[in-house]
Amino acid sequence: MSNQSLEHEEMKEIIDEFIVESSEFIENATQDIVSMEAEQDDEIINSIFRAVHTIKGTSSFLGFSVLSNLAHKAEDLLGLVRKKELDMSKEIADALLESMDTMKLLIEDIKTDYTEKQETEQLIHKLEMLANPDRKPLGEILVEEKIITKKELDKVLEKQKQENKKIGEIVLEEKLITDKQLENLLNKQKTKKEDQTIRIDVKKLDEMMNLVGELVLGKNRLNMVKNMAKRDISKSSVVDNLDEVTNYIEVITNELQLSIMKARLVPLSKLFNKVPRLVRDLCNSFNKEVELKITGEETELDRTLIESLHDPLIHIIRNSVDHGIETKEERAKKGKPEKGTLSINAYNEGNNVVIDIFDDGKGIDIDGLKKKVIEKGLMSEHEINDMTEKEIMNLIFIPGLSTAKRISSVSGRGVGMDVVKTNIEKMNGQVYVDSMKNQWTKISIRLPLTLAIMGALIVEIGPELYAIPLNNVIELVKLNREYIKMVDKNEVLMLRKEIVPILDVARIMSLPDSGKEKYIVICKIGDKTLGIKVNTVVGQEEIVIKSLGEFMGNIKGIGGASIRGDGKVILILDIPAMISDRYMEKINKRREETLEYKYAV
Amino acid sequence: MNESGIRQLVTFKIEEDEFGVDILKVQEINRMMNITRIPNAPDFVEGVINLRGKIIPIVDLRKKLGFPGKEYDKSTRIIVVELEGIVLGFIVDSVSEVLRIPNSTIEPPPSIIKGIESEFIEGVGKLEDRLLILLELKKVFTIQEHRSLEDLNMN
Repeated sequence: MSNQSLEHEEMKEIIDEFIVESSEFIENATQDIVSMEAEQDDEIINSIFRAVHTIKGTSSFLGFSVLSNLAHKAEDLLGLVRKKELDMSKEIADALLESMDTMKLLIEDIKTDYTEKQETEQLIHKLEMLANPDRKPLGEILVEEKIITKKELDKVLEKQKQENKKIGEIVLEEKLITDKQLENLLNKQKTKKEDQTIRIDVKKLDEMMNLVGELVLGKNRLNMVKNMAKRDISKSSVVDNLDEVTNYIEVITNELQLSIMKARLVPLSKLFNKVPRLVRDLCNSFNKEVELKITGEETELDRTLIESLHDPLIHIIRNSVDHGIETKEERAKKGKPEKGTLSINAYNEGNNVVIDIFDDGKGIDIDGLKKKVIEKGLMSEHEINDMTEKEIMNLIFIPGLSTAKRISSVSGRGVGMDVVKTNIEKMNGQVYVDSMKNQWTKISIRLPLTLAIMGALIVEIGPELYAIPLNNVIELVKLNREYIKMVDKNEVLMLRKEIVPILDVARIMSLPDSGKEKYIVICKIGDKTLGIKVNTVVGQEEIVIKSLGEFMGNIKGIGGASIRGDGKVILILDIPAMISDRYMEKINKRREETLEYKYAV
Repeated sequence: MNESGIRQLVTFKIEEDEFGVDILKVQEINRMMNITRIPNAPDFVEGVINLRGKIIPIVDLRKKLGFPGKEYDKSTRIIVVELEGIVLGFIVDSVSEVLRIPNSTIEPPPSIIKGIESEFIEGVGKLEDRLLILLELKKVFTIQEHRSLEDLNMN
């Protein structure tokens, strides 16, 4: 950087700021590196990485190329440690600490006269070597290839020290290896492992996903044509061929769809990485002690879902630390270990990903919750007494409710769990809670792997076909009027001694009641089971979800649309929204009544 | 509106009334196709169609402009337009022609035309022997629609 451009006072200010900021970063990173040696921690490595990354970016922007280059090399090495491709060995820690020291000196240089005087060539070489561990010492390769034994290698290495020769030369002299072998090995040593990943614009992936979506539609159409041909044309080799080629295309399309879908998946660790820090800060501000256990962070989920999961997850964790886990004193009184436990566990279940957030805190106070719901006029005592404990617990997700006695900066403002639920349902997911008073609370989030394509049951309700997402469906039963009873003006189905309420989809959707229903689709949303009467079931299909567009906005009970093989548009039922609407109806009614009552008084 | 003061319009009919819309807004004109009804949608929304893999809402212009309903027939057409990024189609009795008329023949709308709200009308084109109602599509399909959608949500 020339002194000329520094005439600008502004530039000088920026650089001064950079010096202060970078010195701080280097100081912190140095401490972090030391602590990393004792214990590998994702959060610490991330913070070192960010520090170095920031220094690299700013110094390059300001034109301090020596510093930026050094930071760049250190970042490369850190990146490998972060990706767990390398362990934070003593050599790596040493090199990183040396880099920090050199960076510090460079900053000093910049501070005095805006020039970088430090020699960095050797250090950079060291960093490069460490970042490229595939270039193993020849000795190691020899042992690995079982050409010499470990003992022989030790001897050779000793000899190397005395005679100051290259290992290759020594093993040749000792006749441990032939010329040809050595040559091969040297080549092997040189070929470095090629980078197996490329960065790709998400837009390109989205585009591919869209195209595959179209392809799936085309495939479905081909299938229909094939079935038509099979029906209309009697035995012919053409039909057989068509059958064969359709099956082939079906398999390939499914695989292509799966692999593109997988390309969009990212491990949950991307999200979970932020949790330890969050919990630490929360513990500090609420003066609590919490041990955090995270498992299953390698579970993968669609990128967009990970992004939208961020806020709900953080909210749940905050709630757990703030309202769930008790203070040390309280825990001691209850005979619980002083340190609370918060565990986050992610795993795959079929085509879904489940995330359980568990805390061993005070659990949900069902009586308190009941009282609150009645107090706020959200439900009547009669209604609530009809509900199971689990149903009552899940009332924490209804809007306008907060059971926290005190309002803190992070939770307890009455907005929260309902927003969590809405956000998760927007992602086609479900959330429910289970708890044991004074023992624990478990909040489970269930999400589909991807949003773009899903399995669906195609059914006829009223005059039209609809798609019910398969992840809502648990079984299909024949409709037998004998087993349908009326309870409180609503139909229920007696299913194996269980009472399953029937959701009147036709009424919700203002469809004419056809009276032609022959089946009941049993769905499970959260911990609620319910049935939907349908005329017929056409079958199971992979559908591509398309939005109804801005113009139509949100239509109650419709989650989107898809195009079937025959080109006809089919609507996707949004069952979670329908039942929450049903709940809302009840709640709104109750609210109006209380309001009227208030005014009447 | 171009420099020479000539406007190019696509004209269509509902009952005996002739309407015109700016040709630049029109994407394509289709024959009637299979429409999937949307429950709980506003009354004038006929449903959605599949237009080469895209899902497009269809509005019944008759209902929107307050005409009585009519069975679809051979001459029924769907005019697909793009309005500020939103693609939608509307159903008309028949499409007549593409017309070029000078701006000078267009007059501001009278307060009311056969019950059609004047805010939907941009102007009236006077041709030799007939009148052409120029529709302000943006107003027909945006403001009112939002209001209706809000009503829907309120309910």
